[in-house]
Amino acid sequence: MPAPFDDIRFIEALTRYQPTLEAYCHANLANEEDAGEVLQATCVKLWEKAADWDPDTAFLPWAFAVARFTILAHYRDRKRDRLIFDEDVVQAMVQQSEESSANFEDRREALAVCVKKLTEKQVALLQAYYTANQTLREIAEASGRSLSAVKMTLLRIRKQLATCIERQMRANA
Amino acid sequence: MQEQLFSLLENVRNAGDEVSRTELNQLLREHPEARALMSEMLVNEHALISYLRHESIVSILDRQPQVPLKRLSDRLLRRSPAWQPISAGLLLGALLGVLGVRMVMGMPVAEAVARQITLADHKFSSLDLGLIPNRFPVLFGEWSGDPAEVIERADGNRELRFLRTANIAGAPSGLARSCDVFQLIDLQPLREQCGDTASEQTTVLKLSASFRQENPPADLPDLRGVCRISLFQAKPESIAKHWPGILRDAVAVGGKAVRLGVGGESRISASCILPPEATVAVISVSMHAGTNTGHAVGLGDSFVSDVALTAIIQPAFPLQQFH
Repeated sequence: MPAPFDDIRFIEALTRYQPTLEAYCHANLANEEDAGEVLQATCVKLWEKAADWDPDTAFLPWAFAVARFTILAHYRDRKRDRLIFDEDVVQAMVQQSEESSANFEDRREALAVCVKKLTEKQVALLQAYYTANQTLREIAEASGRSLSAVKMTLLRIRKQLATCIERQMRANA
Repeated sequence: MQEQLFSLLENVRNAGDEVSRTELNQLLREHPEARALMSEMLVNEHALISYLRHESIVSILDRQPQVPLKRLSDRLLRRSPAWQPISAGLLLGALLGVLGVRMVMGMPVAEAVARQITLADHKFSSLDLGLIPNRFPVLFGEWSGDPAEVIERADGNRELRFLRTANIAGAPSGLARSCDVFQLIDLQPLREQCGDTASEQTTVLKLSASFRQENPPADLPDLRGVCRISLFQAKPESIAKHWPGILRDAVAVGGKAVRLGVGGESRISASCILPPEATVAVISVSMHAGTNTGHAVGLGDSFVSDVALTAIIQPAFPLQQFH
């Protein structure tokens, strides 16, 4: 049965690179919910344009281009106060976002190793902030610590993870 | 600089601080190294969120016993007679568990709840043996599509056998690349049962199926099993009437393919986020010939079984919160 997305190589490529595209959206929006929305809109556009992609060329640069236009459209649709970056900043960050996202799978693999090196308390803080719907202020109030202390702890963990990820990626390479 | 970027970003996220937002954008505008740092920081952050989310779901599935499933209420079945054909397979799942983030730095924090609800775990048990209707489905819960038949294995379990590639509901000159079998799913009962409040949670729909290949035809060594899910804001009859062109109007899509090889067997899943406007899902399981043949070809002994559509409901993440 023919369909606009009937090319099996297209499905394979989209499946493979979807996490990378989501990371790219997040790098440009700094907001997980918006990144999910834009990823979905990007996927729909990619499927619509599936016939435009030549399977003998790299999928990711083409997909990044479609995602970029979708992100910019998202910026124009949304009110400014919902967004973190200005539109001109997003356009300036495009190159860096593509470079950082391109090896997303390697980063995620490295991160899985690095998270295991954290203490239980550190992981609990990450869980509370990134998956349990807690603001930094709520975490601070619940723990009896100052907001700046919690923020500093989170920053230290993030730095520790970033250093570990780079080291791990070099070792894997 | 990393510390400054992190601090400004979190000020904007947590407090909607406009001064921090201006300063952050100015920094990124003027310093290329700040842009590089921010991009890397956000990609790492996304990897972290993705990892934590995955671990949370895994821990829920691993730790919590499956609560007995119950049928959809009669009220829901009456509301749409089209549910009837799959009512036997359409089961409601239950609370699987509570994400155990109870302690942060020695203090209790609020719990996050994730739920998994099984919509359809279809083993073809309610269908008659033999050929399925050879057309695009027009009713909810009906399996139909290209030539395929329901068979019963020696162990009593049923599976769907793909017979040959075809071009049902496609353009007359279209290529017969695959054998596709479809089902339409009404998403409204799911929303009612989930108590879906889009602003507070994210729902992901996941379609899974097991594909198996025995004795592939000699001229078709490259058979592939494919799962697809497309979500629409449309009436089922309209989808049936305008398929496949209506795919351009899909509000969300997901797909996954696997090469089977001789004697190959594989279970795959395709998923997509459930947007608030979606009213109908079209799920399909297909056997792709891997070649652009313009005529129908036999697919040997190729099968699909245990097709399941699952909704995974997660609390919204805090990154977008502004006060």
